[in-house]
Amino acid sequence: MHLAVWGEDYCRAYLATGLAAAFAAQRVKVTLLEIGKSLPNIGYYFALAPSGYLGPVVDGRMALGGNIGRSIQYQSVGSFRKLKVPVDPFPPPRDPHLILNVFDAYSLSEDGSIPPGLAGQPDRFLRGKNVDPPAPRGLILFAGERAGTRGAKLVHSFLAFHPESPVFIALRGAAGGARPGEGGEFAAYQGERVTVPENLQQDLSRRMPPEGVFFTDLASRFLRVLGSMKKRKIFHGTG
Amino acid sequence: MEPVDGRTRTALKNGARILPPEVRDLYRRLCIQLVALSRSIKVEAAPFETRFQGPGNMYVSISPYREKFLVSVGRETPCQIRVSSREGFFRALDMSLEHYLSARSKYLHPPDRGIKF
Repeated sequence: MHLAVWGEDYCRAYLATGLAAAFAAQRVKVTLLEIGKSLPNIGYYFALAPSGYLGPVVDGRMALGGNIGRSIQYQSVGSFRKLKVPVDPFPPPRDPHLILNVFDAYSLSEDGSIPPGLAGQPDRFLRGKNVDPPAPRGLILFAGERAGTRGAKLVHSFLAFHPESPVFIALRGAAGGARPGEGGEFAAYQGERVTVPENLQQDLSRRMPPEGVFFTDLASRFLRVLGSMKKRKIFHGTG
Repeated sequence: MEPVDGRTRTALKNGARILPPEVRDLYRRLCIQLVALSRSIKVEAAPFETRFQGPGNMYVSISPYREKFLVSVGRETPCQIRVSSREGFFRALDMSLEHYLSARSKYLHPPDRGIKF
């Protein structure tokens, strides 16, 4: 599953850790892959020591990685090429597993599309090859102001890789409607809409994954959609 | 507001005062990270101080000296960190980041003013 954040309105690491924690609370094991150079990174919200989560900021060759309990395994890197598949298998074979690939506009191609190498990252972390049926994919996009045409390009490129996969567009405003200037071409998009509450991100400085109904509901909703896809076997892609 | 490159150039001006190259490099890295936090952060290079101001009363100033630099985080009751090593750099950047995130949250979600009689 991809979590894309567009614009400065939303904090990539805040959303990533909140969503990962919400999935974990529903007994799903999460491999959290953060790709981005801007601060804060997920290490801040996992309350790592400054020398720990800021180390890669000083030394670009470093990568951040570790485990949060038994439910979340994470990496944070500046480029998707630096992601490494861990030697120790995660999670145990029978546990439901979700790979959460998080990035912002910095990782996209110049035209706003997802590079093939980035789109294919989750596949590398699937346990075992030739998974049958292949794992379903999804995209959640937090579209800030001026997401417009380039943000729509991101969605189209994702669907080119994974046709008929669910796409959730998260926008502020009543009933998921876009505020003026926000979302741009998403106003006409027929996919899933997520209404972002106005008070989201009111605790940005707090050093723990954010909690609340928004993340719980979003995780539940996404799992329901993926679950129904698996039953209907309406997905494409490699395992 | 200056473009990102212009803000960074402004921020780096005062770093030449620092003599040890490794400390000067930490000053440079800190300035770059503060500028990168947000496009809305303004940079001012006063004669002996570099100031970073952002929304929600975010304020960080850096005063370079010969062997170190002093980072002051916040405006009303500032917290000061002396930086002459990586450890000091990490503390200063960490505190600045927390201050920026707190200021940004308050800016986006101001507290209720309460009822006035």
